[in-house]
Amino acid sequence: MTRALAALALATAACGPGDLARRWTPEERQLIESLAIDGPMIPPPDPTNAYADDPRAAALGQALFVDTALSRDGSVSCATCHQPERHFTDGLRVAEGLFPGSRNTPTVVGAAFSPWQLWDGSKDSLWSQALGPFENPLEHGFSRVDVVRIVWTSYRSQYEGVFGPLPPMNLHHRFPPQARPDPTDPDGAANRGWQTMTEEDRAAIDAAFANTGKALAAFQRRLVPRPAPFDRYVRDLVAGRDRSDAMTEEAIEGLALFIGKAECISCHDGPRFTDDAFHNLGVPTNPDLFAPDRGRVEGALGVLDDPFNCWSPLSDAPENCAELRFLDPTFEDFDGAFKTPSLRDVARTAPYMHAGQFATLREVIDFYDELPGEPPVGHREFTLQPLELSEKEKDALEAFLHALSGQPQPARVVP
Amino acid sequence: MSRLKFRWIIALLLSVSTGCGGELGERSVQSEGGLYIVRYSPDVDPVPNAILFGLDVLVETAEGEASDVTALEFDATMPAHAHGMQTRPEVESLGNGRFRVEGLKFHMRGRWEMRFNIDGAAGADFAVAEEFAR
Repeated sequence: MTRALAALALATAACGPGDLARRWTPEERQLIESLAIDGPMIPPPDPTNAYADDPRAAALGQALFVDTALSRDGSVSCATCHQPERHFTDGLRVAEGLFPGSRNTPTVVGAAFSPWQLWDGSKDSLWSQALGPFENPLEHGFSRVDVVRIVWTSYRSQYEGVFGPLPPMNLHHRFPPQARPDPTDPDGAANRGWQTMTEEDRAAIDAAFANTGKALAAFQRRLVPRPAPFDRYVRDLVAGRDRSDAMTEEAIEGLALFIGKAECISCHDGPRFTDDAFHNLGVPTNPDLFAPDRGRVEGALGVLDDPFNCWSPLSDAPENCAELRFLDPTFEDFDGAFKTPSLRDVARTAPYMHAGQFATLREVIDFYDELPGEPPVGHREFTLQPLELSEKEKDALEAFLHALSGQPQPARVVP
Repeated sequence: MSRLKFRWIIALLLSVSTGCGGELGERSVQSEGGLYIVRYSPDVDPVPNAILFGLDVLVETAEGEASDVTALEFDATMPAHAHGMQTRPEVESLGNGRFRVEGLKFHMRGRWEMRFNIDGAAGADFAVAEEFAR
C-alpha cells in the first residue's frame, strides 16, 4: 500500500499542473499553436470559380472524378491517379494514366488552399488544373470536345441545372471527335478538327470545358485536412492540461526537432505545413526519366501563358489575380525548384519528392540529413545544410510526421 | 555595435524627436546617406508570413520636404537565407512623396530587409528597413 502511494505520488509529481506547457518556451509554444487546426480546414474563397461552393457543382464533380469514360480508351479517370483509398495519390513514383508521366502524383486533399497547383505551380486554380490531364496524351489522352460530349451524354441535366445549356453535342459535324487545339502538331487530326469549328463553337466548347473543371474543383475543395494527433496534443497544451496521450514522447521529441534543430519549419510552416513557395532541394534525378526537371522556372512561364489562368475570360474574377500579377518568372532561384508540399497526412502519400525519388519518409529524412550530391539543375537552396541527426533523432522526426495523419477522408464528401 | 543597429537607433530617435506617430509614422528609417526619411505602414501588422501584402510609403527629405522626392524602387531580401521574394512588387507614385507598394510576399518566417531606392532633388540614396515576418 505504501509502495503504491509512493508510486502515485511520483506519478503525480511527474505530471504536475502545467507539465505540458513547461516543456516549451513561450516562443516555441506560440509557434506550435500556429501550426494546429481544431477541425476540418475551410479553404479560402476562389473568386475565379463562381461555382466553387455550389453543392450541385460539387456533386457533378464527384461523379466526373471517377468516370473513366473521360479518357481516350475508357480506362482512366481522375481517380486512377488520385485514389481515395490512398489519400488521393497512387503510391507510384510517377503518375501513370495511359502512359507513365514524369512527376509524382500530389494529393488533392488540401490542394484548394494553395495559390499554385502542381509541383511546378503551372496552374493557378483547382479548376484550371483539372483541365490539363484530360488533354495530356500521357494521362487521359482525350480532347475538350470529347469531354463536353461525355458531359452532354451522361450528365446533361446535372450540368445544365448548374451552368446552363450545353452546346448541341449531337451535331458531330460542328463538334468533331478528338478536336482540340494542338500547337505541337498543327497538322494532326485533333488540331485540324479544332480549326474546322467556328469561332463561336470553339468558344462554347471552351466555356463548357472550363465549367467541367469548375465542377471538379467544387468537389475537390471539399477534400480538406482533418485534425491529427498533433492537433489533439496542441489542444491539450492550450487547455493547460497536465498530460496528453495524443502524441508519443518520441513524436514530441520530433516536434521539438521540427521547429528547432532540423529547421523543417522554415518551409513547412503554417497549419498545412507549407509555405506554398518553390525551393530547389537538390534531390537527385529520377533515373527512369530522361532529362532533369527544371520545375518552377518553366511552371512560372506556363501559368502566365495558360489560356485557363486567372486572367482568362473564362475566369469568374479576371480582375482579381494578385498572385499572377506579382509572380516573378525571372526569380533566380526558380531553376530546379518545386513547390513545398503540405505535410498533413504525409505518411499516407509515399513515395516522396516531385519524381518519387524517395520511397519512405526515412529516406527523405536521410536526404536532408546528408544532402548528398549536386543538384541536377540550378543550385540547392543556400539555407540547407546537413542536419547531422542521430538515428534516435531521425526516429523522433519520423514519429512526428506520422502524428500529422488526420482522420481519414469520408467515403463521399457530397451526399 | 553593428551598423544596422546603429541605423535603427537613429531611426528610433528621429521617430521620437519628430513625433511621427501619425498616419505613416508607425515605422520610419533614415536613408544611408542621411538625405531622406522613409516612413511606411504595412497593410498587415505584424508583417505576415506567406501572404501577399502591401505598404503605404511616405518619403521626405531630411528637412521634411516630401514634394522633392520623385522616384522610389523597392525590393526585399532575407539575408540569413540568401534569397529574395518570389514576387515582383509594383510601386505606384501617388505624388507629394507618397507611394503605394503592392505585391510583397515574405514566404518564410524571420528577418527580412526591405530596401528603398530613392531619387529626388536632394540626390539618390537608399534606405534599408528590417521586418520580421510572423
